[in-house]
Amino acid sequence: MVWCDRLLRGLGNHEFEIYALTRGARQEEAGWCDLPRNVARVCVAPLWGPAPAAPEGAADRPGFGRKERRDFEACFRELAAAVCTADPERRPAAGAGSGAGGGPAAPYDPPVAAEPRAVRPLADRFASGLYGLADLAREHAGLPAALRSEPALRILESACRAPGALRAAHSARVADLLAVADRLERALRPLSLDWYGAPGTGSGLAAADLCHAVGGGTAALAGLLACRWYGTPLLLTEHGVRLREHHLASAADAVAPGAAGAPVRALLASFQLRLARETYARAGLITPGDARARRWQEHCGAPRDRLRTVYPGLDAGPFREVGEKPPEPRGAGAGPGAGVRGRTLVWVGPVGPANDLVTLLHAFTEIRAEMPDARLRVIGTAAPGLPGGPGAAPAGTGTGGLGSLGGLGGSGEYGGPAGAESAADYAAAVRTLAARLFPPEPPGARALGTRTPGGSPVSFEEVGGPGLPTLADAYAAGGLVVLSSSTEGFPVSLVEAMFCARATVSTDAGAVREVLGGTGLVVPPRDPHALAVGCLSLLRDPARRARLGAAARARALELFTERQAVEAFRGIYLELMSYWPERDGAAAGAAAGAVPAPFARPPESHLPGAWPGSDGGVTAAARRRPPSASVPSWAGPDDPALAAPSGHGAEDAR
Amino acid sequence: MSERPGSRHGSDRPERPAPPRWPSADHTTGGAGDLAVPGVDGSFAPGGVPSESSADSSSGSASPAGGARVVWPEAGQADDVDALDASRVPAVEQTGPMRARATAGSSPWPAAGSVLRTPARSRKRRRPAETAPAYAPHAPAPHAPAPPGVARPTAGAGPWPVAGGTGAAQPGAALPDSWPGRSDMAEVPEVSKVPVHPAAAPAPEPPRTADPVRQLMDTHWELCERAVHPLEIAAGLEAHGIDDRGAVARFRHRDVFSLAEELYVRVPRAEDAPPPPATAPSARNRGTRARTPLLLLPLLPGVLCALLFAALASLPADLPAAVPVAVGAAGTVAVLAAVRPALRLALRPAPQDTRPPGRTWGAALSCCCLLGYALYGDWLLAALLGGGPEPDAFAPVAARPAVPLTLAYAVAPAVWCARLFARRSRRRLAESRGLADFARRVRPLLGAVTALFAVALPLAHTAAALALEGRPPTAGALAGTAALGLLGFASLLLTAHGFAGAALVGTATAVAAEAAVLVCVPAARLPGLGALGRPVELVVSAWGTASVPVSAGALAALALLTYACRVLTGASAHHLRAEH
Repeated sequence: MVWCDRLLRGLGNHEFEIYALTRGARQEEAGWCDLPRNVARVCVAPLWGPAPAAPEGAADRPGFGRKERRDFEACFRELAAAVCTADPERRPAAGAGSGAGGGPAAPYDPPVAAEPRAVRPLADRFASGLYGLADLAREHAGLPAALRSEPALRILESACRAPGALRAAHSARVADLLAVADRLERALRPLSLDWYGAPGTGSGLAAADLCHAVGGGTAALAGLLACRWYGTPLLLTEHGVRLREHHLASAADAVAPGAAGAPVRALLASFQLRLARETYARAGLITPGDARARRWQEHCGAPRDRLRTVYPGLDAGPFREVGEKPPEPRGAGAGPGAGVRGRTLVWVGPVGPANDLVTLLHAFTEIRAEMPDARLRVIGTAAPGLPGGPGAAPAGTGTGGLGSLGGLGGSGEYGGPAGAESAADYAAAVRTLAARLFPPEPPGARALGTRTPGGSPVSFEEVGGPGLPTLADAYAAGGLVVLSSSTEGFPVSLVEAMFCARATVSTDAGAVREVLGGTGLVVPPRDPHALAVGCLSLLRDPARRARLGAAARARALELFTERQAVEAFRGIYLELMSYWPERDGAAAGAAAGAVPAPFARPPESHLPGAWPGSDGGVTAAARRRPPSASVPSWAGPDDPALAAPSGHGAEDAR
Repeated sequence: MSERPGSRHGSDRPERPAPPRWPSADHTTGGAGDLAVPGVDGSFAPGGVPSESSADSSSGSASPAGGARVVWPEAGQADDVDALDASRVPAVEQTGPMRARATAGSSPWPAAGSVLRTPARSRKRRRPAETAPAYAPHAPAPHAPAPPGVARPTAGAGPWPVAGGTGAAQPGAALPDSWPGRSDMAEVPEVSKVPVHPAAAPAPEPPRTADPVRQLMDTHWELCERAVHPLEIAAGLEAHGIDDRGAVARFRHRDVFSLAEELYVRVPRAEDAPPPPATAPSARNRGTRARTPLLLLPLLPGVLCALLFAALASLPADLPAAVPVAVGAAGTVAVLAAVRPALRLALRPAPQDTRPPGRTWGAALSCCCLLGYALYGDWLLAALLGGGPEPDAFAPVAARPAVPLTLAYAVAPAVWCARLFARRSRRRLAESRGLADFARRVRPLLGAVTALFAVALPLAHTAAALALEGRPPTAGALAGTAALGLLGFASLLLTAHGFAGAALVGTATAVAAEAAVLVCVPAARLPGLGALGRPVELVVSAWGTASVPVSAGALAALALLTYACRVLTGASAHHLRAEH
């Protein structure tokens, strides 16, 4: 994940250990980019493929015996009961008010406060089952096999048939039970990983001062366990809420041929919901990436006082030159014909069905009718830079390098290759449509002012192609940047356009309005006419364009820079660590059995290096392993510590 | 909740606090599936004035100069597009189920065919260009109070919120930043889609209803009826551009979650009959049909074995003795090599990598040992009991040629039966409603498959014996072959379903029993250990040497089959293979 890489590099004085979960073979093949020097350890574990064979850790962890099997059944019964049981009606008259009129509801009733007590027992059952399984898996190998075994299926069946179970679960067939057991086994794989170490050994998550889980759901499981076993504070960052992505994928699955039936989807959704609630309840701090993620988290029970929105930062450096240059030469006149660039619309982003280029092309026909010399340049980029909503998430085509970390967020519901193919098909279809809408003009008819090849007013280009060596050049190519997505997560290209001080016309999707905040036009999605009107009004008014562009740049520099995100996380790290009581780790050297005292350590004592009066820092600095920068984890098996698996960044900042 | 390409979306944007609904333009904004330019009427006349309002700057930063301009389009071109729609949409009549749905709720939609709902079945596969729902401008809510300072035109006159009567058709007309309606426009109105019957589209007034959720429900019917949780609807709605602001403004809900909960409650769930079992077996059948030549692969060991015997028989008699031995060894290796891909066909249903391969190989090795005993064990036992074997005694090269040929051919029915069992049991998996039900259905299947194999084996043996030896096999030979074959079949079934350990234990026990017999006889010659050989002598004298492999193989096969009857009737033995 790109922002993880930025965080690692930005917080150079912290020492990181990376635990990554991978979702598919392509992620593992993609490998890692150069890791910064403060990464001490990288562990990767697959969430895909067949279940890991039991005898892997046979040396120290024996298999399940009779007693363990009994314990497993008890724990799994709790877990299954919590997953299969329907939520008690939380708001019985939830929607009744809409037809009945009545005044508009209060804009924000705190949904967290409405969390009734009846939900608690379920959450408790889930937690006890989950942690019971984790304790078992910590001592004994064989949890994956047990989860796929016949007793587990029987427990699942009886939980589905129990009174009060989910309505969809009642009709579960044997095949559905099998599918659920299979998916649960995958989702619970982090429980059986050997990432946790033991207190006092100075290795694994037991020795970390802070767990930073970059994604909820399965990826946060390891942090959850570390939090439970060792009291490691858990920081959860979710740019796209895992639960929401799960539901989107599930809804998409519902219409797919041969997909899992409703019982499977219901049970898995219930599991994800319970897991999300448990994670939100345990996390020390939760940092959603935008307001929508925040709302979802609040709805799922995240306490408001532990939510801090941290926008994903982008590197503004490449865009500085373009952004500081005035978009159009002064003195060209304020009329609607000031220079070719002023009449050029630019669309930048990865081409895909979610981007709704068709709307843009239809809108451009209208623009052309009003302004015949207008141009449109569609500039494709390789890969989405950030995880986002449904638009960005399935398009995991270009996840090279640290993109492997992107696997943390999920458990492989997206069909990656299918997404790539559909994107290619979509690009071809869009080109066909453009050729039909805008047939190439005869040569010489409009030679002046035509910069697009072939004479067509619409050109399709790629960043890195001729004339557009960098992304900044792409934005500089036009006077107006258009974003036509029908669905969108965090609009990276919009932020980049803001860095470039370009006026923007965007569709109202995802976090667009929140990002734009009044420094650009917002039109409804899938509405070519609105898009055209918005573009025309800006194309005809260069002064307004410049004004909006300057405002956008100012806003972006204030809110969306990489530095802002890194500094926010720096403060959050120190704050979280300072809240937690000092643990009798090896470095602290505290007497065993001492009562942990909150605030016993100032946050600065966690920084590495010689800290007067704190031998812990010195010890940690001396203890630090030689960094294995730019070496993939599997390339150096000589260091036994490197051969470990899983998924999220644990931060070890002593 | 797929974005449906090719659908026509109109927009209907209300405003807080009490939203009027402004009609909007209607355009084809299809995705990849619908790239045709509808009517090539690209010349939309922009008749409205884009309004300016400050977009919601919820993220804390002060809104810089310039302000947000929110542009909302205007209706006016809807009619021709809708006429186009009406000509395109083939089925506009209300069908039974959809009619029931449209009237089941509390909707005040007019009953006279005003809701476009194609039947649920056909909607699943519809092509976007054919039956895309048409959306049309919605009538403005009559009770909407205009914000102060904003002259709200009616729908017919261009529904733009314009300030101070500057409603001239000038798209570029900028309004001063300090126009009085600004503060009231701070909340951007939200988008929703309103479906309308295409036949009613030429009519000026679409049906109006007091229930906006009803229209939303119709638009997202499929999403709602398939959702398994209100959050799924919430996610889908958000992906379609409805968020909290829209929920508050248009649907009078606190947030999109409560709106989704209402939808979840009001829309009946899709019928529970699971379509997946219907599609999955067909896909599998297609796959097997494509692999029909592959299914002949299990016959290869038998064919190779027959060729080997033919070659051995056609060798000239005057060749040195090493030549038949070499030919026989090469042929044996070839046959065994052909067995491996054949068996893999049967092992495929199970997740292969979850098993340690060592157990599979161990079971295979045990089977080879059993085969060796079946070929030469009787001769060796007889020799041992008779005080031998002589130092220069050679085992007959092909003492009982029918046995190896039979077993080589038996690979084919074993693999076919194992695959049949896997396929049929998977179908029962999708059909059964409970684990006990499944076990009840699978147990006769297992018995039938085993019986099929047990019948095929003596037939093959008899045929092979008649062909090679010219006489039907003895009962002892038949029993020995049947026991060995059944043991191999049981271990194959168990291995294919992930119980390689059990298969290894069963076959290894049989091997150990036979080996013990062979060891006991010479060991009895040692002084003081004479008692060791007595049981063997008694057994052999009573039932002959063939009783040893028969009893060992049959007991092991019986044990394995009993175990298989217990574990293979459990659903966990039929986990689907991991896809990735």
